Formats: sequence, structure tokens, C-alpha cells
Amino acid sequence: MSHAFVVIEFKGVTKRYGRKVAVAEVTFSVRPGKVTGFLGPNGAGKSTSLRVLLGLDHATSGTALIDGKRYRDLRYPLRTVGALLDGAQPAPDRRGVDHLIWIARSNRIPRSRVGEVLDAVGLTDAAKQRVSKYSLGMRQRLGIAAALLGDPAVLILDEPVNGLDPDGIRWIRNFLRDYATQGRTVLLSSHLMTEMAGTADDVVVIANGRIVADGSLPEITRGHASLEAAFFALTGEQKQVWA
Amino acid sequence: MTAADTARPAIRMTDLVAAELTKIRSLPATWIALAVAVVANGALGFIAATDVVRLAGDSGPTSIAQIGTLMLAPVYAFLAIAVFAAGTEYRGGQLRLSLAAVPGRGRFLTAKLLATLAASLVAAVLVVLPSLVLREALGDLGRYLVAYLLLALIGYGLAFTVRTVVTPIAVLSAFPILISTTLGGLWPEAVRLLPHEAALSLLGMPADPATTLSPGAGLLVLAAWAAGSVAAAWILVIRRDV
Amino acid sequence: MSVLFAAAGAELSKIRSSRIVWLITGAVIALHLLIGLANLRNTSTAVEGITPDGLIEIFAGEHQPAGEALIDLLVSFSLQIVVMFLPIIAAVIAGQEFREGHLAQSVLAVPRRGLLMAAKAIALVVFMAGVAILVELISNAYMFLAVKDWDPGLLLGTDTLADHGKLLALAVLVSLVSFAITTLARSTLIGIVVSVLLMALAMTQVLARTVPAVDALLPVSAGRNLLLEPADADLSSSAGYAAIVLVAWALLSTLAAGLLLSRRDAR
Repeated sequence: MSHAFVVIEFKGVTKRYGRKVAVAEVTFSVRPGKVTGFLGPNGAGKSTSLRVLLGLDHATSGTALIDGKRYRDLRYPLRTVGALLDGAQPAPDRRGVDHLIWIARSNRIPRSRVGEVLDAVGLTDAAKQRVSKYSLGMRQRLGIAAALLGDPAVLILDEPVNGLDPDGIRWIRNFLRDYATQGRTVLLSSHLMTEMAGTADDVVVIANGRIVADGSLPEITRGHASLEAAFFALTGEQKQVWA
Repeated sequence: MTAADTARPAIRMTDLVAAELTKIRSLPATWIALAVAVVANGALGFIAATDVVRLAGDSGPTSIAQIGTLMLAPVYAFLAIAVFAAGTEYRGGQLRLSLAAVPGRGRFLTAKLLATLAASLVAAVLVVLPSLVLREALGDLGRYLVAYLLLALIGYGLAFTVRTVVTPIAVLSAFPILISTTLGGLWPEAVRLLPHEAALSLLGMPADPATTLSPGAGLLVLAAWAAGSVAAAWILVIRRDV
Repeated sequence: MSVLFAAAGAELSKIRSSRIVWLITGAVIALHLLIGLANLRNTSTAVEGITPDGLIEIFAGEHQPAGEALIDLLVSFSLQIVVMFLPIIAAVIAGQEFREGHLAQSVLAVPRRGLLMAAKAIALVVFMAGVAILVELISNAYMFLAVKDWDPGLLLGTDTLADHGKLLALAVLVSLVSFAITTLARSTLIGIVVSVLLMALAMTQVLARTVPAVDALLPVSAGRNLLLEPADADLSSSAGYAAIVLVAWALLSTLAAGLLLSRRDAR
């Protein structure tokens, strides 16, 4: 797999659950060689957008494409795209290493990658334990390992720092920066502003299911004290929930 | 807040029971299980009372009132109420929250047991009564309630022990059909000590002469299962890390 | 094709690395060994008592030609485990996918749902065939111990081998039905309960004695009709009809499950 310039494009994606509109007319693209932050409050539509992109949920209308193709049309998708999603968990009664083995088999990824990614996320010693014995942080590391298995040109991570310790957070930040520098595409969703400000090059902000801002980090924060201030200005009415 | 309120000692047991009853009441599974059991038992009671359907047995047509396993079948929907009350503690780590609210595990378990018994008793009356009225067998009400509650307690203890909802219901409902039929002919003296067979003996409608106990012995065996199951759950919840 | 093989291989490693699947399979095999052991003495005694004109008394008071009666016993011994317990194993395997968002992980790896369902069905067939073969080997081993002094070649007759083939097909087909029902309901519990109900309907003969036409359309009843001798048991249809019913159940339920899996969001 070459890692040259794979673009992610959302084109007018709308998803309704019954009458409730989860996301409406979501349109943006993610460029290679950059870390793109996907920002929004809880329930704004981040996960739904990513689930549609990854073929888990069916869009009511619109399309989301990776390298010009729908995710499901990629022949061995994990060799192009690695994803970590909140609602995609390993089965608790399986050992961590077995979880990676079946994923590798499904996409004809060499078995040797299993050891490599376990090493990369620091789970080698815990590989033979059952997932039910893992801590939140270890589960998160296992999820990241699964995403890295196919050495993908695109990484899509939903709240990757959840449950990670400061060391892990620093590791993932540096890792993602390096990954993007190699010309690969990184889409990172989070609601942690300081984390995002230190990692992302580009920022897409979603609120109430609609994209409210899309641009480089300096563009988005221009005229505001910080990314956080910009975020609250953009997602306006949301903050009153906590007031 | 008044002075009387602040002077009150910590949390009373009635508060804990009320909290546990709220948990049971707010689970959709409780109401689904109750509806299934009431409808199934009512229908069976009606058929048994009117004798409109007879099944061909080995010795000619048999009234379904005499087929104990069938008449007892709704209990396995009913006992889901108690199983869910216990098993859902292990969904999404609810038990951690429960024990954060009530750190005394013995108190928590007492409250939960009382709440489950109360909810199950009310449910059992609703399930059993229409059928007994239709069959003009109200005198059996006590026996039926005891059998229902003891089976529910077995499921309740099992759910805490294995920490899931599926296994207790699957095991308890599958045993009468799978294990009793395959092993009943080989070791009747062991099979008659299983909960389902003991319950049938208690209710006076054993499946097979070879697996019959006296009603009193059936009651004892069933009570022993229930006590053992709840005791095992108690010990495990007290000792285990949450 | 290589995409399908890879996906089926992955599904097979999922089955093999699941502890609960091994626990349940182990329990079923242990039960089979136990029942076989308990029956061995009775069967050996019956074989010792075979009369010079070749009649055996397996059930008190019934004298039958020994060879046929022993083969029938062998078949019904395996049949009981195959139709009663293999669907439970299949339901547990299928239900693993619906725990804690595991399905999403599977769909990420194999996003084409039709392909995913086909891969799952293939892996299930392979695993269940393995279990069924083990069950039949155990049945044969016990029967061999019982008959080795009378007619050690009994177990190798052509008819006997055909019966084994039918048992294997039955094992795979009823497992597929249970797997498909569990996938449709997205719940292990419902899969097990429905499988047990279908089995109870067939084994208690409730429908066979009241409305045989309906009974003949049920999968487990079809299994009985396929394997048992009309002379020894009340059957509700011919073996050919039963075979069609079984294959139709397995195909249609798997297709329906695949269709629904494709249309729903992977949650």
C-alpha cells in the first residue's frame, strides 16, 4: 500500500434516526499530511459522521468517501484505513492477542504485524490476558493497536486519549504528528480542547449535527484567546447547558 | 431541610429497598417477562380448565393439565424478573455505582433480596392467580407461590454468581428439556433432585414416576437449591472485587 | 474468493479463541461421553444375549434383528446430541457478535455485510462439522466396544456410513438455523430459547400427533424424519421431503439474517 495522498471527503451526509436528525448536510474534506481535529460537544454528531464514513451506519442521504471510494468498496479496508471507535469493542472473553489475530486474518495482514503493533502500544506483556481483565487504558491501547495493524494510509481515531495516562497521551500525540508527517491522513475526534490545540493542524467543528467551522488551526482561532474560546464562540448555545 | 431531617441516622433499610424496587421497576425486561408469564399462564390455565385441547400421549389423549413440564413452563419467563434484578448489576458496571451508594455489601444484598422477593411475590400472584381461578384450584395457591419464589431465588443467586443475565435463564429453562430427558432414564434418582423436577413434585404433578418425590421432600430440595444459590451469591459478592 | 477465504478464516479464529464456546462445547462432549458410558453396560448385556437366530432384546420385550437394531441405537444416540445441543453451541457462537459493540469491529474489518455473513456461515459450518464428527466418533467408539466380540465389522456397512453422512448434514443444517435465528434476534438468549422450543416440539411429538403436516415443516422434526426408520417411530414425512425442508430452513433463515444484517446499522 502506498501512503500517497489519500483524501477523505464528506459530501452532504445526512443521517436521521426516525425523526431525530443526527447529522445534517455534513460536508468537509480531510487532507493528507496533516492531523485534522474533528471537534464538537457530546452528541453533536461526531461519532455518527465517523460511523457513516466507515460503513457502520447507513447515511439517509449523501456520501462519505475515502480515496474516492466508499469504505465498503475497499478490497482489504484495514490496509488503507485504521479506525478506533467508541462503539467497536473487543469481545471480553477473548485474549488481547487473539483479538488482533482475527482482525489480521480478515484482511490478509501478515501475522508478524500483531507482535509489532502490540510492541508499539506497549501491550506485549498483557497480550495473553483476556480483554475482560484489561483496564480502560489498556483497552484503548488494544483498540489503537488494532487500528495500526494494516499500516494504513488513513487513521481515524474517535476520542483516542480516553483512559490514557499522561505518558500515553504524549505518546499518541507524537505518534500522530509523525504519522501525518509521513504524508498520511489523520482524522482525530475529541472534545478536549487543549489536547487538540497541541496536536491538530486543521480543525473541523460540528455542533447540533452541522459543520460550523472548517479551516486551519490559526484560521479558526484568529480573534480568540484560545481554541477553547473559539470553540465556545462557534458552538454558542451549547454552553448554556452547563451554566 | 428541617431539624428532624438532619437528625435522622444515615440511610434506613426501607430507603435501600425502595431504591432496589425502583431499579427493578425501571427495567423494561421486568415488564416484558411479567407480560409473557401472565399471558402464557393464563392461556395454559384456560386450556387446562376447559380441556379444549388434548395431546396425544402414549396412552391415549392426555389433558394438558396433567403435563407438569408444560404447566410449569411460564415460571421460566417469570423468574427472569429476579434474574434481571441481579444480572443487570453487571451491565456497564452498575454494581460499582450501587456499592458506592451503599458501601455495606451485606446491607446492599439484604435490600436487594427483599426487593426482589417483594417484586417477585406480587408478580407471582398476578401470574398464578388467573390460572388457578379458571381451574378452580385456589387451594393450591400457596404451593404455587412457594414454588415460583424458590425457583426465582435460584435464578437470582445464579445471576450474581455467573455475573450475566443470559446464563441463568438459559440454563434453568434448558435443563428440564435437555438434561432431564437425556439423563432421566439413566439416573432418575439424581434427576429428581434437580430444581424443575423438585418443583413438579412439590406441585404434585411429576413428569415421570421414577423422578417423583413427596411434595414435602420436593419442597425441601427446592428450598435447599434456593438457599444454596443465594448463599453462594452472597459470599461471592462480599468477597469479590467489584 | 480470497477475500471470502480471509474473512472465513478470521471468523474461524474468532470461534476458536472464544473461551465460552470451548466451555460449552466441552460440556456437550462431556455429557455425550457420560451418557455413552452409562449406556455401554446395557448395550453390552444386550449384545451378549443375542440369540443364535440373530435377535436382540434392547428394549424389554422387543426382539429385533440385531444388526439393524444396533445401528438404529447408534444413530439415535448421536441424533439426540446433534439436535439438542449443537444448536445451543451455534447460538452461543452467533451471539458473541452482539456483545458490547463487537459487531462494529467485525464490520470495520469486513464492511461488505453479505460477505461477512457468508464468511460467518462458512466458519460455523466448518466448526460444527468438526464437533459433529467428534460426537459420531465417540458414539462409534462406544458401539464398537459393545459389539467387538460379536461382529466387529458391523460399524462399517454402507448403510451405516450413509447414516453418518446424514447426521453430519443434519448437524450443520440445524446449527445454521439456530445461528441465523440468533443473528436475526441479535440475542443469544432468544436464539437458545427458540432452538430449545423447536427441539421440544419435535421431541415431545406434540404436533406430530395432532397436525403432522405442520410438524413436517419444522427443522428438528425434519431431522427425525430424515434419520429414523418409519417402522420404529411415528414420522410426519418421508426422508426426501425432510431433506428439502431442512435445506430450505437453513438457506432461507441464513439469507434473511444476511439481508437484515446488511440493512441495519451495525450496532
